[in-house]
Amino acid sequence: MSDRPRWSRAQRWSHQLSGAVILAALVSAIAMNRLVSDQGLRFTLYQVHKTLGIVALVLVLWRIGLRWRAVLPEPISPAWQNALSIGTHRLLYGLIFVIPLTGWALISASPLKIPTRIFGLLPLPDMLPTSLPLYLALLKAHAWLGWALGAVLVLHVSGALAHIRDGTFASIWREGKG
Amino acid sequence: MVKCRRSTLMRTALGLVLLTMSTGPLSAAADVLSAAITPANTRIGFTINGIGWPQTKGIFAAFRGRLRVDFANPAKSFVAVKIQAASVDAGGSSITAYIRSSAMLDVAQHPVVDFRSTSVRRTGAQTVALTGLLSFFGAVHPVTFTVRVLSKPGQRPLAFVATGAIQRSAFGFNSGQPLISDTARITIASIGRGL
Repeated sequence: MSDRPRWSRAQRWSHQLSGAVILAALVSAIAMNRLVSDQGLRFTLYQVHKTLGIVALVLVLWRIGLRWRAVLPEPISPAWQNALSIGTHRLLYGLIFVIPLTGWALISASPLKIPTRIFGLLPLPDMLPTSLPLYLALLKAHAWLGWALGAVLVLHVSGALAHIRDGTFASIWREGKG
Repeated sequence: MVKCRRSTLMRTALGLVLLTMSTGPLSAAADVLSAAITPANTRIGFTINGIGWPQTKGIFAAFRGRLRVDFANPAKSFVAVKIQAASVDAGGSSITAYIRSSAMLDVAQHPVVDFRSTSVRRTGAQTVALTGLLSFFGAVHPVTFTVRVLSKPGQRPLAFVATGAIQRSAFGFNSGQPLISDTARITIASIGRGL
C-alpha cells in the first residue's frame, strides 16, 4: 500500500497552479464578454486573459512533461469509472493545450493589432498573418472550446468529489497515502 | 381672450428684440461673440463602432481654439481648434495606451489634429452647417459639422453641440478595419462666453 506510486510534489503543485490559472482564465473570459460594461476595464481584462492563457499553455506543457516520465498511481475504481476518468483527463489535457493555442492564433490573425505583452512585459510574437475570416473562425472555435472545457471541468471536479472517501481526491492535494 | 392678448404681446416684444438686434451701431457689438475654446468650456468626444466590441467612446482632453460667431451674418463666423492627439483618453490606461500607439492614432508621428472652418451656413432657427478643413493623420480633408444651438437667441453663454463624422479611410487611418468601423463620429459640446 505505501509503496504505490503517488503524484509527485511537482505534479501536485503544477495541478493546483494550472487549475487556478484555468479558472481565472474562464472567469475573465465570461467577465470581459458578458459582465463588464466599462470599456477600459474590459480592455484590461482581455490583456489579463491573454497572459493567463499563455501561462496555462506553459503549465500544461510542463505537466505533460512530468506525466511522461512519471509512474502514475494505479486505478482503484471499477473499470467503467477508470475509462470515464481516462477519457475526461485526455479531454482536459487536449483542451487546455488547444484552447490557449487558438487564443494565440486569433490574436495573431486579428486586424486590431493589439500588442500582447505577457505580464505586461514580455512581447508575444504573432504566429499567423492578419486575416479577418481566420480571426472570426478562430474566435468562434476558441469560445466554443472554452465552454466545452467548462463542461469537462464540471465532470472532472464531480469525479474528484465522488472519490473523497477512497483517498483519490486527497492524493492530488497532499503527500502521503494515495 | 387672455391667451390671445399674451401672444400678441409676445410677438410685439419679439419684434422689438429682433429690430434692435438687426439695426443700429448700438447692437452691432452684441451681435458678435468671440470666445476661446478650452477644455474648461468645451468637450471634444468621439465614438466609433466595432464588430464584437461595443461602441468605443473617448475624448481629447488637451486643445485650444477660437470661436467667432457673427449672429447678424453667420457666414462670417469662424472656428479654429488645435487638438493634442496624445491627450486622447478612452477611460482606462491600457486601452488609451493602445489608441495612442503606432497600432492606432500613432500620436508620436501625428501629434496634432487641427480644424479650421471654411464656411458657415445657417440651416435653421437654431442650426448651422459648419464646414472646415480637418488636418489629421497626415492628411487634410473637409468635414461638415451640424451645429445645434442649445441656448435661446440672445442668451449667454452660447451653448451649442456640433456633431460630425469622418471616414477614416479618407485620411489613410485604416487601423483595425474592418473590425473597427470606417466612420468615426465626433461630438463637440461647448459654451461660449464672450471675451
